[in-house]
Amino acid sequence: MEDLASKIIELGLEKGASYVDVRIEKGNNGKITVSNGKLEKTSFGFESGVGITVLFNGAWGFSSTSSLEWSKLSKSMVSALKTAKIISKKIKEENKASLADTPTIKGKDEYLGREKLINISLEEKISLTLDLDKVMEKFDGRIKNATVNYLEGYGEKFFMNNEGTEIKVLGSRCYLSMQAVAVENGKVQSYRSNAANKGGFDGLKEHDLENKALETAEKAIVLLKAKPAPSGKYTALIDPELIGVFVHEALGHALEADSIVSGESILANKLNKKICAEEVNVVDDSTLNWWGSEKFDDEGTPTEKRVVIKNGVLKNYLLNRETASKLNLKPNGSARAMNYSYKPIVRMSNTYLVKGTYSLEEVLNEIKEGIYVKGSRGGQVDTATGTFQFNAQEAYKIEKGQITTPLLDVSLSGLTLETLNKVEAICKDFKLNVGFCGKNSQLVPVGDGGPHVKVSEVVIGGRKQKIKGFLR
Amino acid sequence: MNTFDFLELAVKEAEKMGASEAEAFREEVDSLEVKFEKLTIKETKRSFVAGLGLRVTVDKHIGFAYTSQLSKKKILETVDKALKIAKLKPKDPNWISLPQPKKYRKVKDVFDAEINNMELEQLIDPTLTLIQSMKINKKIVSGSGGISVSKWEKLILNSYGLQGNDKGTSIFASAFSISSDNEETGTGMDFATSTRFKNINFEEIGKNSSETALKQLGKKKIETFVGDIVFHPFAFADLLQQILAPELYGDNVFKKKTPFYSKLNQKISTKNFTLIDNGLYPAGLGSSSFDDEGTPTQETVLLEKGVLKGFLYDNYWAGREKVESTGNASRSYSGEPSISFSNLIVKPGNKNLTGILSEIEEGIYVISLIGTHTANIPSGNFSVASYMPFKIEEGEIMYPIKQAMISSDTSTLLSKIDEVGKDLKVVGGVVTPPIKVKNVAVSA
Ligand SMILES: [Zn+2]
Repeated sequence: MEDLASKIIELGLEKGASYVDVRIEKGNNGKITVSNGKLEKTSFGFESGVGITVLFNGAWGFSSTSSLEWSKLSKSMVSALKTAKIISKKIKEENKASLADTPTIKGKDEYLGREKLINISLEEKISLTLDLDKVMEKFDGRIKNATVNYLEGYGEKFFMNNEGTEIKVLGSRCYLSMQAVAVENGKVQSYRSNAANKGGFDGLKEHDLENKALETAEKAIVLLKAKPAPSGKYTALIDPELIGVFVHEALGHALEADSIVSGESILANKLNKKICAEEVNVVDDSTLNWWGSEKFDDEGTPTEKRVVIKNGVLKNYLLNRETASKLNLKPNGSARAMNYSYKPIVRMSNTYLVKGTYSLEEVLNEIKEGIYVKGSRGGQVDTATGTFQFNAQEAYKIEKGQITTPLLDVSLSGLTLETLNKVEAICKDFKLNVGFCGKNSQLVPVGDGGPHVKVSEVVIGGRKQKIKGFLR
Repeated sequence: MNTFDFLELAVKEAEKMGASEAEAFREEVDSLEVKFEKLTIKETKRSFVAGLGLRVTVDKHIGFAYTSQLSKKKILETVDKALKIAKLKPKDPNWISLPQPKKYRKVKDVFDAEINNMELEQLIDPTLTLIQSMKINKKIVSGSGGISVSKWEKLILNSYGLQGNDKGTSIFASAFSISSDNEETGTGMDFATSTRFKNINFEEIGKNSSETALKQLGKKKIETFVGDIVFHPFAFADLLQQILAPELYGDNVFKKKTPFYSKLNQKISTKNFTLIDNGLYPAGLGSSSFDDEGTPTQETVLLEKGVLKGFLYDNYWAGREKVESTGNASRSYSGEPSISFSNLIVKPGNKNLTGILSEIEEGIYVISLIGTHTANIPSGNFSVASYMPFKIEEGEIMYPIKQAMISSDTSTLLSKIDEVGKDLKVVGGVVTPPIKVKNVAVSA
């Protein structure tokens, strides 16, 4: 792979590129889907390809192909450079791209785990998936459907640029998601959970999967008793899973420096300014031993623990080499690509709210009327206005410090900066979650988390049509 | 060896190695893209993705494997892997067979020679036009977007002599504008998709996007209320493809993972609402002569005047429900087929947007939605944030709104469709006019 990459880089430089990098990937991906005790889908396959990035006089060109043949690759390089040359004439001087310096390194990383995915038989992967499905199905007669998805990927990534950086990563990841659907008297409710590991099969099995499956089924059953949720503004107690989604969606995406540079983030021009309560500390850490971490980013920069909010003050953004150069900051290894066929863009790794000092009990006791929201079905944000939405898997009324009636399908929405200023108490518990984040059609593994948090005046979207009847 | 030879090799080799049936599927997608940011052109991208997926059955044991490399060695490895997986999987007594060959009909206007022959640099001038058309006012402070074109080709071959080859093209152009005034930020967007280059009006996309961004300045807070909602085609298409369409898929019906599984031939919406899936829709972005397992595509009525008339099927789930496949198998080379809509078409009504708005006493007009992917498909419940919402009062759009959430479920929403507009918009694989829904909870 080294030879092929050098040849491409040489050609690029010869044709006038000021910067060239080449990413070669070869890997195996697999998927197993089990539904109601039946193995529905299994797909295993091999994928490879090359992504070539060039910079010519401040203009980017990117080209990718799933072919590894030199004739296709040299054509790919020529075409990337040709258009970069044309558009470089159309870009205003102040908008031209340049790259902040990063150390030139020869790097290596390997995360395959103790029980390497390649050595685990397909039978074992299938039987784990089937077993978990059975656990959910057998839990209660009202579970009408149980589905388990298993995803895996392992392979090698090779990065080389014209500055002399070379990085070889050999890695694997595996991911399980489970869904239980409960039906009673025409009511249909579902609950989803997941578990994942960066590394081998051993790390996935350590997650107490059977218990997770039981819990998934149990929660689907509990939801059958849930009542329609109210709509309007309420005090919310948010659990670590949902606070992770909040930190990721509402805050994290607005911290990605590409949106800062393009003027599409509410956090532009807010560096070193106080943006929320002093108790709020937020970190994006790619050095943690967790799902969303990588040792090097896809531009060859070593990754870091980035403290983005310290005591309520915005301290840093998530930066790649281009945005760091534009903002006069240091790149912190935030360039990630889904695979060779995409140009890396600024992404999060594991983003979390640092734990506080309150006990969950004392915070709960203080809430006379409110809503407890737990778990997440996902979320979305518009970074330009800070409008966010996320959906809780479970919700309960809080009455006089007690968690009472379960509520149905609660979503939360708000404006990031307003909501951050309404954080009233941060608990001292802590949990990290795993998931995937989608941005510009690229999905990458990310982690998020935090403690329980109390926030006032959150807009809850429920289904109950009575407007002023509930709580306030 | 040409591409078809590799498909043949895969099928023949699989049969030789013991497969009762084999099916090779090849997909190639070649795309070109120019992106802009801060109202200046930024980067170009070319990508080529291709691969071959092989499905085999051995006495009703189904196996699947794929490769992105076309070489004799990789094909033989893939055959070996697919057969190995088949042997590991339990027998599926419900498996009938791979599709048999049938006659295909040609779809009009899915292939555009102009896009097919396009070079990346030809997208630069249209991108500059798009950018220029966004600069309608000095309050437009930033804007991003781009133009991309793709050509795709798919080939299929199975043991029954079923053989298909189809190709098409597409273009996607988008603009996202940011306005600013007195520390307030407004956003606007517009995009257009088509199978043909000449159908896209770049100036209009830029202008629409910036006009919305300007109109989004001066946002006010509103109180929680129950009122009428008018969905822009972008917002309604989002609801259709993310939430309603999966609820009409045959596998979800079989598994009772949809509120509509027992509602066939029952009224689930109002007489205004007719929804059709049409894989043969001329110039449709989801159109093709055959689906991704070689079944001819067709027109399938899903809802007719509010009555649920049909569901969508691929070959396998049609077999389980003892119906015919509707030609809705969808896949990439790296996966087994699953059910997906082709083109979802809402039958237009008679009123234009102004006519629809004029009857509303109090409501909101929503251009786009945030969070439809978090909907609960089995129950149909959703609670999403409106994006670029406007308040409607006494028949007119009065002012932009800071924040409004919309919560309902598909059964309720369908039963409250009050007005279907007449002006259709192509939003990817969905073709819909604006839709008015009565009495929905709006929280703020
Ligand atoms: Zn995200």
